[in-house]
Amino acid sequence: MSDTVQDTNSFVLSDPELFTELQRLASARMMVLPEDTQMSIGAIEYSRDDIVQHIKDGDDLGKQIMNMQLEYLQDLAGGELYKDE
Amino acid sequence: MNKTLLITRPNHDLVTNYLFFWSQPVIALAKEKRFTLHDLSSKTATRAELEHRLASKEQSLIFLNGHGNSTVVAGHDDQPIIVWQENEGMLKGTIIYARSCDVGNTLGKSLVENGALAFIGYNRKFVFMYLSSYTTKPLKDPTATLFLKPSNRVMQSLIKGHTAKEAFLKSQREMRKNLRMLLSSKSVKENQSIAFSLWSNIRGQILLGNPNASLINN
Repeated sequence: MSDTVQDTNSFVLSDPELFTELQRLASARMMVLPEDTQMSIGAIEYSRDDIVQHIKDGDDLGKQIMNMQLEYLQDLAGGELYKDE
Repeated sequence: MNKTLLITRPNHDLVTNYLFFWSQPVIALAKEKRFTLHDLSSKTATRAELEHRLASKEQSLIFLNGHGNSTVVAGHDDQPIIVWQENEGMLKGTIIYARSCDVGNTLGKSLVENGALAFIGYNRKFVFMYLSSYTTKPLKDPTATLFLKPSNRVMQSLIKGHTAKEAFLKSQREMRKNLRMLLSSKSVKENQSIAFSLWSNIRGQILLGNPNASLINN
């Protein structure tokens, strides 16, 4: 993650209002997934509903997922996803 | 360089089970190309076994599957098999792909500093999604395929004699192709929600060392 993205993400995660908005956004985006979707992050598997709960709890895993979502949305808006490598 | 492939693929939990089966296409290609294969699978994915194979100094390509962190690659039952500041020098002269979390941060750099020709891995958590309805048939899992087929491309390219940089780029291109498919207007909403995790792997995949390292050039 670039320093600029990381700085922005740190800002979003530390601002209570933005944090809550990001929780809602990240949860909603995860709930679209099929119910039997599992996600492997690190050494652990999580169900879709596990992940949504972690996001709602705002714990380390929840923040990690929110960070990933935020980075993705920022890069999508910035056109990074459609650049050649 | 000798045409050898050493692969570690533990199989003690659901995640390693997926990586275990998804390594099979890579192994099949290595056999087709008449590689000498050292398949440290399941309970043989141990530090002792790995070091025994590395001691011969005949290894060229190394494919590590399993859990990891910045300083460790793990094998069977999550026991460390490559540990920072302990045994990374044994991989001198090899080209390595570590399908493990975070290894690129510290251990990956140390592997190259200690003589590995090139290292491809991740500087963050390696993520993949899968469907619980496919856990008994991982190779047919359409969701996992989006992540693990491009990941395999790294090793498949190296086996075919491409450089580390070419292998890295081929994998990146395939991940981006999958990403664009997920984002296309023809894609269902559920697919679009997978995209963020695939993007994380694209962003987190790194190449260290000599980008021109290959079986042919070395």
